[in-house]
Amino acid sequence: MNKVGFFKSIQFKMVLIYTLLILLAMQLIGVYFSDRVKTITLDSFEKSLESQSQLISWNVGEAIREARDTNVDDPNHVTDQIQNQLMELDNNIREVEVIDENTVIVAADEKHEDVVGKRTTNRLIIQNLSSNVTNKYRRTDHKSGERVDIVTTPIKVDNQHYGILYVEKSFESVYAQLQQINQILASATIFALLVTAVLGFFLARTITRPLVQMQRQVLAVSQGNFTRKVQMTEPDEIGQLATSFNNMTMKLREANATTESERRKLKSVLTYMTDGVIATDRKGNVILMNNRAEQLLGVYRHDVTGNSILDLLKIRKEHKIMDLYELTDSIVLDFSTDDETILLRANFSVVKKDNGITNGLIAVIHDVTEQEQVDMERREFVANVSHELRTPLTTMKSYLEALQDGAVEDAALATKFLGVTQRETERMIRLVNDLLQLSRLDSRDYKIHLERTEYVEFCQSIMDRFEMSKKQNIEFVRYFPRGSFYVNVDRDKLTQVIDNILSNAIKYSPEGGTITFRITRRGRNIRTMISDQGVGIPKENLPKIFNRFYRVDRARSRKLGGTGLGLAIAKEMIEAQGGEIWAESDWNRGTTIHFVLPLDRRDN
Amino acid sequence: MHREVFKSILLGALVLASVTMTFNILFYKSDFENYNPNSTKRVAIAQARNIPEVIRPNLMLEHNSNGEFGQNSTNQIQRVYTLLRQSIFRESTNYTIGQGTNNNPHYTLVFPAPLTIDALSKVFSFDDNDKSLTRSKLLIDRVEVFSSPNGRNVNAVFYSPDERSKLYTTVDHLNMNNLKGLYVDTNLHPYDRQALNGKIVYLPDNKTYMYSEISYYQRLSLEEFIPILFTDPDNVFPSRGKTEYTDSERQMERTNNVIQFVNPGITSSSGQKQDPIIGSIEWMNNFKIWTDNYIYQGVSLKNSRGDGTATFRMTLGNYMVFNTETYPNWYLSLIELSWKSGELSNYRGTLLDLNPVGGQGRIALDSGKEILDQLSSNTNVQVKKIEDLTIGYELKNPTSDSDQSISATPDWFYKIGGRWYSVTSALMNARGINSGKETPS
Ligand SMILES: Nc1ncnc2c1ncn2[C@@H]1O[C@H](COP(=O)(O)OP(=O)(O)OP(=O)(O)O)[C@@H](O)[C@H]1O
Ligand SMILES: [Mg+2]
Repeated sequence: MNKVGFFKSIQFKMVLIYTLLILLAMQLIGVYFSDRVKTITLDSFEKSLESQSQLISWNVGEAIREARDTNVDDPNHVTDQIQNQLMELDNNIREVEVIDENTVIVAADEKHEDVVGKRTTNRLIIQNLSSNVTNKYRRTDHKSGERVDIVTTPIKVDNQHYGILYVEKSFESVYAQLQQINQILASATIFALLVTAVLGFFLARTITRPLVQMQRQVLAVSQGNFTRKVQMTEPDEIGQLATSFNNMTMKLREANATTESERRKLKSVLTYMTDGVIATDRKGNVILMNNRAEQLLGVYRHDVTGNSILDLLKIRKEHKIMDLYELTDSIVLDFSTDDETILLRANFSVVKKDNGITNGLIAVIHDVTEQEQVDMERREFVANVSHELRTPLTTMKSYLEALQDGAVEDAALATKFLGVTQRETERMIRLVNDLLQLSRLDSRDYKIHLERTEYVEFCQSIMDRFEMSKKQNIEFVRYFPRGSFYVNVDRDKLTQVIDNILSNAIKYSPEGGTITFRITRRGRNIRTMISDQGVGIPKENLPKIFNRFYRVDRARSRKLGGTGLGLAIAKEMIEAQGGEIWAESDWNRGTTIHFVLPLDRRDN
Repeated sequence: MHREVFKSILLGALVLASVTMTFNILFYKSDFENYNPNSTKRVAIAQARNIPEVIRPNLMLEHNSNGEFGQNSTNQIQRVYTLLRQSIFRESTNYTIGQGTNNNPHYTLVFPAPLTIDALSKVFSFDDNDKSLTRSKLLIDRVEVFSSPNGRNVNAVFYSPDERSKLYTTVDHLNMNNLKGLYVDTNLHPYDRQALNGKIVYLPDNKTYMYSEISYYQRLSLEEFIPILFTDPDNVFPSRGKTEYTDSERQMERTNNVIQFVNPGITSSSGQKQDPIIGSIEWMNNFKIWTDNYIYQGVSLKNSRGDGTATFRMTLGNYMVFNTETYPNWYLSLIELSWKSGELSNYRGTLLDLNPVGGQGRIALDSGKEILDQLSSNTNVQVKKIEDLTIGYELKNPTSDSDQSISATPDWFYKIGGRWYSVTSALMNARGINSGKETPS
């Protein structure tokens, strides 16, 4: 906002108004005053001329009377006497004439002596010739343009009407005087105007200064600066306005601060929320997206802002923008690449204005990859369980049917069949036990009875047990460190883990193979490695062998009586005791299962 | 905040200043030097006169079976006048009062000029309860007192100059014997009753012997009249060598020894009603302009509002003083005041203040009848037009300033057309060889 130009400012306007009002007032005063002065001056001028001419006329009358009385015979003497009376008159008198009843000019002033003796044709004289009263006229001399006052006064000689005295006096001196008065008035007006203007200029600032301050403050507020305050000058309307304005500024500041903090909160929420958020305008063009959305969609917001959300979400083929507005369910987006599976779920909600008009879309995107995988695993698990259960049941069913069909009568066959059935049952029980154990581990409501155990000794006993019961031609090699290493373990469970690992090793070892049991201390941990020389596990399957029901070669494993749960249980148990388990393998060379357990570092 | 305080103070100062200025304008006082406008002294040129000293008779007459007898001694007349002024006159409708029905002497006082009832009631006491007298337009110049035929009452009749209009009254508080006594004490001469134009005059039947009167005189300066005649003496300017003064509305001028003042600009008609005779005397008294003895000598009324002219004539001894020269010189022995709307519109009068020193040169004047005869036979004066005839002094305008004395010469004077003429000069003019002059009309 620019500074208001002086000629557009209120200050100027007020000064203008002041001066115009003063001007008006002075004009009114001037008109009235000069009119009155004019009237009074002209009247008094006329009055004085009237008395002057009355005196002259009296003097003329007296002169005639005296002249007649002293020198009856000589009319020239009378004229001279009259003429005498007309001398020495004041200069402003233009013309004086004495006219007798026969309209003959008996005498005149020095300048008009040439008319003496002639008849007058002056209409004013003729019409007043026999008048008994003084008459006054204001006329403009049509030749010179001079304004004149004309007075005709009857001349009486010893109460007899003699004629009239005609006096013509110029008004110009009066008008000059009036002009002077008007000039004084005009200069007074100008002076008053100047004083008023200067005062008005300063006084108007009383009003405009708070306004200017307020304007500056508005400017500052509009630029976001709320710290300014209008100085409360006086408790008048402007002062109140200033106070209100300051209050408003304060409220605005508070509101702004609230908004700002809300905005920050929202921003941080948006920034740090695990869901991606995309906002679009009414046409579905992206106007805003948070970091998470960038991350999930693998784009930069600068690149996509303004693009259609349909392209962004790669759903142009399936949807139109209008669909999204009406969409109530979420949609799953497949952003999987060759390397990894990425599944996203998008929920749409409509942004509406106060008046209910849709203003845009908000899309909330979550990463559902994991969830979907868990689902898949669960389904796989159920399928696995069902499959694993069905196989023995099917076998048992067929054997039992065979027994029913008469094989029972064949004792050997029957025994064999029942043996198979029993074996299958045991297998099922074992399977169910494993599942139970796993589920107990999953739900974590099992109890681990940690006991301080001397680890090497513990392992020796297990190895000893295996060596005694071994049926195959397999050599067990033990690399045990000297000394005693104490660990806090649940002996039963660790026994189960090592049993499983060893049985696997035995299971997959060829005839005459060697199984190496090695224990080494690694810092605070103790590490156990169990290696065989079996078929090994393909590298890509290595991480999966700890999955439930995972078997590298299903057919062979089945034949070997595995369900694929053993390592899964082992992993859970090791991790439950604070350890770690992993596998290393070379295809056809053998497999090594490592696990690490923390040492109990209490010294005996 | 300081600025605001400053601004408020400035504004307050401005308001105060403007209030002061407004006050100054409204109650404007110049910073001229102080002067006391009331410092002018009360004007007193000479002295004041009681009304009866001015309005007074100049002839006392007794009418009895032998004819008219009278005399003009001021002292004697004043005694009779005083006696009558102490009486109370009551208007009477009893018209049986009449002259000649009885032989009781009638005593008459004659004023030189007719008086209005207003003026008359200033000098005589009238029992005028119903105010009928004051409404009367009568002009009275003589009063005749006599006992009723039965001798019980005293009656008085007031006459107009032509003795046609009469006002009958009965007189109280008058001892007729006292009156008679006053007449008996005086030396009465036979008088002759003459009817002139509009006036009946009583003229001495014998010769009258008089002396020329020598008098020192003193001329009043014109300036003395300025504060009397002008309302604003400071605004009066002289012209024509200080023989004329004017404030541009009024004018006062001196011609020879006569002052003439005129105020032609009187327009208002709101002035209060005032009898011009009384008004004039009061005005003269007010400024004490009576330089010598004056006697009321006539009035001319223009209207009933009191506009009119009153005239007072100088007297020397028992006689009036006249000037029969050209126009303004008449006023050498005369004071004339004209009133218009209660304001003095004209004042003409003498500037001479006489100081008589004594008589010299006895002169015998013919009887009135002889004078009338001479006028009618020797001159072309139209005797029938003569309005008044009286003995008096002629006072000529002093021409030389070096001689501070003036002489008043006894003579007969007659009045035609309101102007007095000297009988002697009329006769001399008529007698004068190759006299082409007409007798003024
Ligand atoms: N030492 C090994 N050599 C080769 N393959 C092995 C070895 N140990 C485990 N495996 C593979 O890992 C799979 C999972 O082993 P796991 O012990 O969990 O199941 P199992 O031995 O088949 O059945 P279970 O132990 O429940 O009776 C096996 O099916 C096998 O394919
Ligand atoms: Mg196993």
